[in-house]
Amino acid sequence: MRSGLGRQLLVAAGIAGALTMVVFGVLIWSLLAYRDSASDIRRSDDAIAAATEFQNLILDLETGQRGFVITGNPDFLEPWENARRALPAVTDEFVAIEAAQDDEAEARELQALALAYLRGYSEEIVELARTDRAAARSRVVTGEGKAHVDAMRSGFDEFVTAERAEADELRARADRRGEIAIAVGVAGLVGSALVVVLLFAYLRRAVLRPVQELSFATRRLAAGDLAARVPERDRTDELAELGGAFNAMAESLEESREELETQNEELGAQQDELETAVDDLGRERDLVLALHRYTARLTEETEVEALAVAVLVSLADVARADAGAVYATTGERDLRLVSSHGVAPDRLEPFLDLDGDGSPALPDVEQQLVLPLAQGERVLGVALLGRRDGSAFVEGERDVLTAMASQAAVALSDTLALRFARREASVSRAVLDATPDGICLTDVEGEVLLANAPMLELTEALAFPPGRTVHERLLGIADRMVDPDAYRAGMREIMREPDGEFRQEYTLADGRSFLGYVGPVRDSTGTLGGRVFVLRETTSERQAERLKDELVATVSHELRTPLTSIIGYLELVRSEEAEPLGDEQRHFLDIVDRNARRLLDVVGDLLFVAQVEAGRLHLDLAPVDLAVLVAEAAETARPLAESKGIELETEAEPGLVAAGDRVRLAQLLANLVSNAIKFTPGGGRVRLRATGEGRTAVLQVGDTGIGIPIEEQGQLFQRFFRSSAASKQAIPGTGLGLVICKAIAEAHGGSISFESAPDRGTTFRVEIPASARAAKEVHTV
Amino acid sequence: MTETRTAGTVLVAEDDDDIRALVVYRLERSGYAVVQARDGEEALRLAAETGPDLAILDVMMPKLDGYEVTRRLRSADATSRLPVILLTARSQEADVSRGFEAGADDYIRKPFSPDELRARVQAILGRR
Repeated sequence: MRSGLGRQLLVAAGIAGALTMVVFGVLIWSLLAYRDSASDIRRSDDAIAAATEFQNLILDLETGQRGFVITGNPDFLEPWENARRALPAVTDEFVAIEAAQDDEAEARELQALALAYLRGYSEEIVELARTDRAAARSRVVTGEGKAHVDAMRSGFDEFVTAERAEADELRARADRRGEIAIAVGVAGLVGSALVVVLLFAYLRRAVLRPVQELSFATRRLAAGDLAARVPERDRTDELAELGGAFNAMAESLEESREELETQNEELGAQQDELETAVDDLGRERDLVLALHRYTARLTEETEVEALAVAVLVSLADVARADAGAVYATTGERDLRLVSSHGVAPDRLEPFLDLDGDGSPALPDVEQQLVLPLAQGERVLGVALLGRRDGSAFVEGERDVLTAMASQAAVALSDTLALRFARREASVSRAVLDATPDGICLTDVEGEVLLANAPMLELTEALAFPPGRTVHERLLGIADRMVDPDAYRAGMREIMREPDGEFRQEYTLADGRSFLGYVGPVRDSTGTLGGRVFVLRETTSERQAERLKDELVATVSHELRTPLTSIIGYLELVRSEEAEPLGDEQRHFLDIVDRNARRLLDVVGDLLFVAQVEAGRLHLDLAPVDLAVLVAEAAETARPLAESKGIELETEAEPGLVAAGDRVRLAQLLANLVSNAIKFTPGGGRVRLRATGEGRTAVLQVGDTGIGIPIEEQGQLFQRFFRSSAASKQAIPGTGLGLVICKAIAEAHGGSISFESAPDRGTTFRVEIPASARAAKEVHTV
Repeated sequence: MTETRTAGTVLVAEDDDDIRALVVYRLERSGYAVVQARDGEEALRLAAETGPDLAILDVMMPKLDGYEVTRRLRSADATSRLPVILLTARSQEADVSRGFEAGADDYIRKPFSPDELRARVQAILGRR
C-alpha cells in the first residue's frame, strides 16, 4: 500500500503551520500585555498630572483669597475666580481617571475635601473680605484654612506616592512581558526556520530527487537511451509509481525498439530483394519498350519492302549483327530477297527455294542466326543475321530475336494480306466500275456506303436530289415518273422490307426507262448488313422493242395484205362462178394456193415467235377441260390422218382440268399432232393422251414414226430448225412449230420434253400445272 | 343488179385497191349495193351521205383508222346503230378487243376467204 505523498506533505505543512501559529500567538499575547501595561502606566501618569493640576487649583484658591484678604486688592481674585470655576471639572476628571481604575474612593475623598474647602471656607472668606476684610483676616488667622489645605496636601502626597509606586510596578511588569515576548519571538523564529529546513529536507528527499531522477531519465530516454531507468525505491507514493510506470514504459519502448530493429533488419533485407527485382523489371521494361517501339514501327509499314527494312534494322541493332538479310514470300514456293544490311545485295541469293536443301548463308560471317518468319506452318519469310567477330548468339539473345521475328511475321502477314486485299479491292472496284449497271451498296437504313462509277453517272444523269438515304433520293424523282403514285407506292414497299428482293422497271415521263433491282446483302453469318441497289438503263432496249413491234406490225400488214389479195382472188378464180379452168391450170393454181397459205403460216408463226420473244404472249386463263381439248384436236387432225392411213387414238382422264388458255393449248396440241402425222408413215399410229400426275396435267402426243436422229435432238427447239428427214422427204414446215409449243408450255408455267428412237417413233410430253395456280405472266411496265 | 334486187347497201372502206375490189366483187355478186371509200374520212362522209346498212372497215387506213371511224359512227345519231365489221391484218387479242371496245360488231382477219366474208355479211344483215 502506498502512503500518499499528498498526505505526507499535508502533515509536514500542518506541523510547520501549527508551530508558527503558536509562536505568533505567544508574541501577540505578549504585545497585548505590554500594551496594557503601558496604558496603565499612562493612566497612572495622567492621574498624577490631574492630581497636580487639582493641587495647583487649590493653591491658586488659597493664594488668591489670602492675597485679597490681606491686601484687599481685587487683582488677587482673578486667579481665585479661575480656580473656583475650573475646580469642579478638574476634580470630576480626576475622579473619572481613578474611577477607571476602580480606585476612586481616595479621589472622591480628596474631591470632597476640595469642594468643602472651596464652599465652606474659601468662598466665605472672600465674601467676608469684600465686606469685612478685617473679619476675614481674623478668620484666616485662625488657621482654619490652613488645616484644610494641609489635609488636602497630605492626601495628595499619599495619593501621588501611591500612584507613583503603582506606575513603577506596572513598568516593571511591562518590561518582563516585553522580555518574554522577545524570547518567544526568537524561539518561534528559530523553530520556524527549523521547520522550513526540515520541510525542505523532506521535500528534497521525497519529491525533488525522484523528480530529478525522472527528469534525467526522461532526458536520456528522449535522447534515445532506451536503457535509462529510474532507481527503484522502497516507497509507494505517486512518484514511485510514476517511476515504476516510466520504467515500464522505457522497458516497453526498449522492447518495441528491439522489435523494430528486427523488423528493420528484415525490411532492409526485403528492400535489397526489391531493389534487385526493380532492376530486373527495369531491364525487362526497357526490352518491352524496345519491342513495343519495334512493333509500333512495324505496324506503321504497309509495304513489304519498307517493312523488311524496318525489321532488319531493328533485328541487326538488337543482335549487334554486322550483316543481315530478309527474304519474303512471293506467294509461290520461293522467297525473294527484299532487304539486306551490311552486305551488298548482289552478293546474296536473290531467291531462296523453300523446298530446296541447304540453308541460306550470309557471306564473310563467323556466326549466323537464321530466324524463320512464320505463322504456324506458314513460312512468310526468313531473316538472316551474322556477326563477323565470331561471338556466338547466346540463348537469351536468341529468345529475344525469335520473339521479334515472330512479331515481324505477324506484321509481314498483315502487310501481305493488306497488299492482297488492296489488289482484291482494286480489282473489285475496277470490275464494279466496268460493269454497265449502276450498283450501289447501302446500310440497312439506306445510307450509301459505296456506289460504282455507272451509278454516279446515273445519279447525275437522272439529277437525283440530295438526300441522306438512297430511298429519299429515289423518292425525290417520283414526279418525273410516268406514274408517280405507283412509283411512290413501290418505293415505300422497298423501304418497308429491308430484306426483300425487288425487280421493277421504271419509265420516266421523258421516255427513259430503267430496270431496278434491290436485294439484301448478308454477311457470312447470314446477318443482314445492307442492301444492294442495281439500276440498268433499258431505254435503248425498250426503243429496240418498240421498233421491233413496229416492224412486226408493218410486216404483218405488208405481208398479209398482198397475201389477202392472192388467196382471195385465187378463191374467186377457182370458184364455181368463175370461168371454168383446165385441169392443168387448176393443178398449177392449187400449187399457188398451197404456197401462198404456207407463206401465210410462216408469217403467222414468225409473228407469234416475235410476240413471245418480246414477252408479249398474253394468256386468257380459264379452266380448260383437257379431255375435251384432246378430243377436239383429234377431230381437227382426223381428215389429214385418215388421208395418210394413220390411226388416231385418244385417251383422256375425264374431268382433268388445267388453268390455261384454251386457244393456245389447242394450238400447241395441233402443232404436235400435225408434226406426228407428218413424220409417221402410212399404217402408223398417233396417240393423244391427257393424264393427271399429282398436281400436274400431262399432255402426250406419241407416234410410231421415223423418230429423231440423236444428233439432231439437241436442236429441236431452235428457231427454223428442220430435221434432215423433213428436208429429204419435202415435209412442209416452217421450223417454228416446236418453238411455239415450247413458248406456250412455258407461258403456262409448264415444260415440254420428248423421247425418241429412230424408226420407232417419238413421244412429246407437255406438263402444265393442273391446279388453278396462276400461270407465269410476262408483262412489262 | 337493179335496185329492187339489192339485199342491202354495204360501205366498204379499204385503202388497198385490190382487196377493196375483191370485197366489192364478192358483195355485188351476192346482190349487195356497195359504196367504196379509200380512207377513214371518206368512209365517215359516205356513211353519213348514203346511209348504208353495214360498214366493212379496214383497221389500217390513212387519215382515220378503222377503230376511230367506228367510234365516230357510234357517236353520231344517224349511224349509231350501223353494224360494223372490221378487217384486220393483226390477230392479237388486244387488237380484237380494241375493235369491240370501239363498237365493232364483228371482225375478219386478213387474209380472208371471200366466201367467209359474204357469210358474215349475210349473218348480220340477215338478222334484220
